Amino acid sequence: MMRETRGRVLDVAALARVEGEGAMRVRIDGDTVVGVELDIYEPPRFFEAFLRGRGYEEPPDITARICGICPVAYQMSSSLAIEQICGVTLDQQLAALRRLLYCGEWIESHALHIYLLHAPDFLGYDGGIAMARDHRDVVERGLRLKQVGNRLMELVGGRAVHPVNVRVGGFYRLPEPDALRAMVPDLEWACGAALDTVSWVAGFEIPDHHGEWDLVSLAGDGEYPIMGRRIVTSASPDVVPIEEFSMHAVEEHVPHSNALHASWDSGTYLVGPLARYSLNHHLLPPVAREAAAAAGLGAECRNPFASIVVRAVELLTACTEALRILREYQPPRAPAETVVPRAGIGHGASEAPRGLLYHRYELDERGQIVAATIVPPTSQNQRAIERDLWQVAQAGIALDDAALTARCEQSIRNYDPCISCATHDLDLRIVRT
Amino acid sequence: MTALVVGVGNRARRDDGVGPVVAERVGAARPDLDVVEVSGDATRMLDLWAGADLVVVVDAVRTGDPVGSCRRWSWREGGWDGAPPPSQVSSHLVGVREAVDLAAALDRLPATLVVVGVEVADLGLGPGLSPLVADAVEDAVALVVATLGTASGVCPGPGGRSPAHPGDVAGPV
Repeated sequence: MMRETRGRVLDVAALARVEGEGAMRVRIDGDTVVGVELDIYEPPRFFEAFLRGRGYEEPPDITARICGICPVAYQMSSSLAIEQICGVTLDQQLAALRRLLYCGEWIESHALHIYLLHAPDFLGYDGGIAMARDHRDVVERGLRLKQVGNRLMELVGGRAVHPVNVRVGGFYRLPEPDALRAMVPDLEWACGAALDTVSWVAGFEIPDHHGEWDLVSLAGDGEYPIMGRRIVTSASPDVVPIEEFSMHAVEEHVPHSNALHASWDSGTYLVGPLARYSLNHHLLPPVAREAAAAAGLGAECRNPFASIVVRAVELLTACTEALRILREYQPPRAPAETVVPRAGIGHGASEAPRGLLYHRYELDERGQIVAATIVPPTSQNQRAIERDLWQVAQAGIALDDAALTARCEQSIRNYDPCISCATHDLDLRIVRT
Repeated sequence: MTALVVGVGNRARRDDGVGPVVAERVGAARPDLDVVEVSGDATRMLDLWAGADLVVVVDAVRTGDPVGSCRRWSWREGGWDGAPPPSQVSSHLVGVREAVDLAAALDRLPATLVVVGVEVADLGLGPGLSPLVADAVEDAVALVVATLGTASGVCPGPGGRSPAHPGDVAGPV
């Protein structure tokens, strides 16, 4: 749509390749960017209210509905929080099954983003469909990778979208060992395909950019972080227990957005692949660390445009981890631990494909939810996205309208924003006056 | 012939859940059919419809027609029979039309593909359909069932109108 103000108005189509909907406005006065506003509407606030008065066992099912792309993240963060209140620790094999399920979600989400949403930006296509006509084999590889992730989610979670087999304390039923073993050849193929993916995206022309934000992710406990109870940052050597998340991550209203904007110890911060990678590089499986080095990545990566390479390294990590878990799998003694509700406050955190997802619940003595807090990764990244877009737009001010628009859209997609947890119509507008 | 009914949408986003609701009702009426629900990424349909001869996809649409209207679009001989269905209308990552276009580019379409759309109003947060859309569910179920057995059909929504012919649809929203 065209909108006229003083001077020239650049029209930018809706960002179809960002999940969900939202609004981004870039205002330019002459040769200077004077405003960048990401406006999203956050459903977690709705779900927080919706959860009050519900039973302790309901958050995994209810919160999984927030996002069709990362339901497992919501299930895991909520389960971990409730389990902390109830004093439940999972059997090692149950924990491994959860990690396997989560790997499925990473594989599905990362493959989708790399192949169908982000790669077209680098190869000059409007989208994955146009790219598929010229790069059929590559897109088929991406879809097959995604399918492997989906099948893992179905096998462990019961259904690829909104898995229904997850419960507080574990699972309703265990997957058949034979079915898990049958996935081994698929994961062996996926590991090779993921390695090829890293090589493929490493060949893209990556715009240069240095993000000026702090990095925040879960700390890995001997393995690349997916679920955990400690947080590490680039701002401080201190390790933060997730119970102290809200002391550091402060959300506040800003005039231009319905969503809360978060800061970490008053600074702009980033969660997601770049943060996980840079803070936990030493915990990558050797094959992924070697692939990262071969792709030209150092131990830290602060270029959001290179996130497609980091995401590919994480895709390889997830495939490698899933294969390891499948090969080492021993059935747990029971599908779930016994959970007895009690009053208290619990915190849960996990690494959704887009970054750290924090949940906090307060239960009364009957196990009913008194209060719920959900902090999704995209809302944490809003401030960093705005700051980056400001810099990218300023650096590209000499580009023509179409090129600058494309660069801004690509910049937003660097973060794989999950705004369907979120909003209506991501409509990017550049306004020149 | 193998037939599959796919309900696309998120039941936690009001009228966006109409696809899954309709598909569920069709499944209850026709237990012989394969019926699945897809929320989030519509490209997953490419895996689901592998091997199916006839696929009916039910989705929420916004074309400008009266809320609750039902209509269908058919893919025939390499293209849409008339104007295509609208692009992404709600919170799906990749919309139905985009997924179909991708499948076409990869030669992964079923022999017959029909999209049944229900005109929606409220894509806000929360469960449950708005009244006019809830009233249209039975019409949409009937249209899906008719599609499975015949070749064409359009039903008006409550207080709505029938388009001149099935391909006579509004452009993308």
